Amino acid sequence: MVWGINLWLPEVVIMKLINRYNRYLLPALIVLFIISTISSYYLIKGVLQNELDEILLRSKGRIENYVAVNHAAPVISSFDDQKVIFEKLTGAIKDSGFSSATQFIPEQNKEHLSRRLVFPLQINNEQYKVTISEPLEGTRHLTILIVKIAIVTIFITLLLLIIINRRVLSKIWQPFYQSLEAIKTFHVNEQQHPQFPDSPINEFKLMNSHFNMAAKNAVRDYRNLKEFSENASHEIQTPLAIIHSKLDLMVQQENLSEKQSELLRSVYASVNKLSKLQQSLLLITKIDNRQFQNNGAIEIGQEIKNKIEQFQDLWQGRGITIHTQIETTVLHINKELLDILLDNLFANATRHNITNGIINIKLTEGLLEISNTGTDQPLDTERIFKRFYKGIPNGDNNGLGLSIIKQIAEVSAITVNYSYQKEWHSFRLSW
Amino acid sequence: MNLLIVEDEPELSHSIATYLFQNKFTCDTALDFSSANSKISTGQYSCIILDLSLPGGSGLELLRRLKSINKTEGVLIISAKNSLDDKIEGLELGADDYLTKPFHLAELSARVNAIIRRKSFDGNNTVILDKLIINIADKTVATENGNVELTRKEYELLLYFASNKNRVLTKESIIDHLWGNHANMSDTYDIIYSHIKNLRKKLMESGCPDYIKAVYGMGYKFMVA
Repeated sequence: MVWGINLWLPEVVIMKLINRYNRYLLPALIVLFIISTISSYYLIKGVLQNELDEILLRSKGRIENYVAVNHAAPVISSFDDQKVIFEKLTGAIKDSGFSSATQFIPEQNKEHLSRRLVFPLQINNEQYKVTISEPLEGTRHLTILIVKIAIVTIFITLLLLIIINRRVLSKIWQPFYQSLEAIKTFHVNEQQHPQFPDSPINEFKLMNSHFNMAAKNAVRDYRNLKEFSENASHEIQTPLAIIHSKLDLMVQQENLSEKQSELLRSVYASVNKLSKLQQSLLLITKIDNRQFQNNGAIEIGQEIKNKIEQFQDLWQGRGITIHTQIETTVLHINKELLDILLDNLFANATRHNITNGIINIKLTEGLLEISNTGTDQPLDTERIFKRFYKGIPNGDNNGLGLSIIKQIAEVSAITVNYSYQKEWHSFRLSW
Repeated sequence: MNLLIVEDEPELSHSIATYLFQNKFTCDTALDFSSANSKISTGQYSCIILDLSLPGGSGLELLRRLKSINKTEGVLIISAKNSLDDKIEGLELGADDYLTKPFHLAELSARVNAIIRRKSFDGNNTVILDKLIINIADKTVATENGNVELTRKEYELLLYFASNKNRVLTKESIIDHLWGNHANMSDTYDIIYSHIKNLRKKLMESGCPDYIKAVYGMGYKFMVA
């Protein structure tokens, strides 16, 4: 499917789901951190300011108490950061209440932000304006601290995300990839049902159950189709046998005219061809259905020699020369299938040969190579093993031979390759 | 010689009976399991031609019963089921040969003849075909003038003719008989022609009449009185 998408939408960059997810998640996280940093700055600043204001109010209370008892302004110790200033008031007080202002601290030779409380006070019938100020020193440190915390948190979060992606997520996604692998290697004609890994994750469970259902349906439909074609082949067999037998009787008629003989001969040849075709199709179905048990190791050198013996007079008739190089080697295959395989390979090399041509048969450990002289055109490698493929239109060839070869090879764990070089057609079987 | 044809398809059964009757066999037919079963237990046959799928029971079951009552008839299975398992099971149960539908009647006749020859207890390994004496055991052919040297294919061809004397053997049937499945090649007809030509020449050189007649377009016929 991935390839399909690639093919149709080349501009879409294929990326892993997790990367795409991160592409949305990470900016969102960063924005969230910035917002939370700013808001925590203001919140904490507000809390601290309230705290300072409390301190200023307590100082105000202490000063008022002192004045009420002693009827004089208190002497202010200057060891504290808190400053209290008494000013004789001439007019009305303008700026009473809390305010923020900058204040020069001479010891540090620096301007500092501070919090002020201004209130009027009457001492011995004289109006004073009292200003208490407390430096807001902590707030600056706080800002720096919060930014530091924010940056560190962002980095730790990113790092964690990366680690989680690498370690944890790949582990979590493992059943997904296992399922994909199982569905990839699944073939409808295999007896074995694909095994999907068990997963506690809901989505994967759902996916696996759907995969399972699809596989089951595919296998069931395939099986039905196979049964149908096998039954169809069998049903055709009986009427074909009747036609065949009637023709056999008809051929025996003594008084057939030349015209009748001609017609009969033509019908006979076609029915014969149909019977062969039907038997080949049935054979393919049976191989497909794995109705041939593997007989175990067979020494195929001798089998090939016997088969050469059987073909000898066919080759002599066409003036075909045989070159052989046959070693003793074994192959795990069903004996009947081996016979059919060799029949088809040899018949193929004979049928498509030229008059006075050559067939080379070479058998070594794990390799059987049969090459023959033939037309100066290579066969269509894409299609040669397809059913009913006919390289050269040939009335006597039903186009199933190579398909049978391929089918037998498949069930016997043999690889078949076709190659063409300078009028030489070669089939290589390796196992 | 008496044969039993157990085949549920009357048309096919009739064809087989007709062809084999012309080959000097008398044929009894059974179209279903129960009639086949009663004929097997009472009759005496040289060979039984047995279809495996029958109404009322399996041909394999008939085979089992036949062997259980110690009948020694030869059995040729003809079946639409070309499955190897059936073949193996049939042969293990004591069938003598197996032929898959559709088949040439000439081939059926050859197989029946071969079974009867094998089953004959008189130790007679020879087939007499007019002036020819075919020794099945040694695979040799002789006339009154001595042995006729034949190649293996020529010998097989002659034996095929012997099972189908005075019958037209089509070229297709000869090819299938001599080369089996792999002979699906256009120029095998030429090879048939050369084999026939050689066989005819060798037989005539041994003092036989010209037995083999070409039947226009169709095949060949082995003519003996």
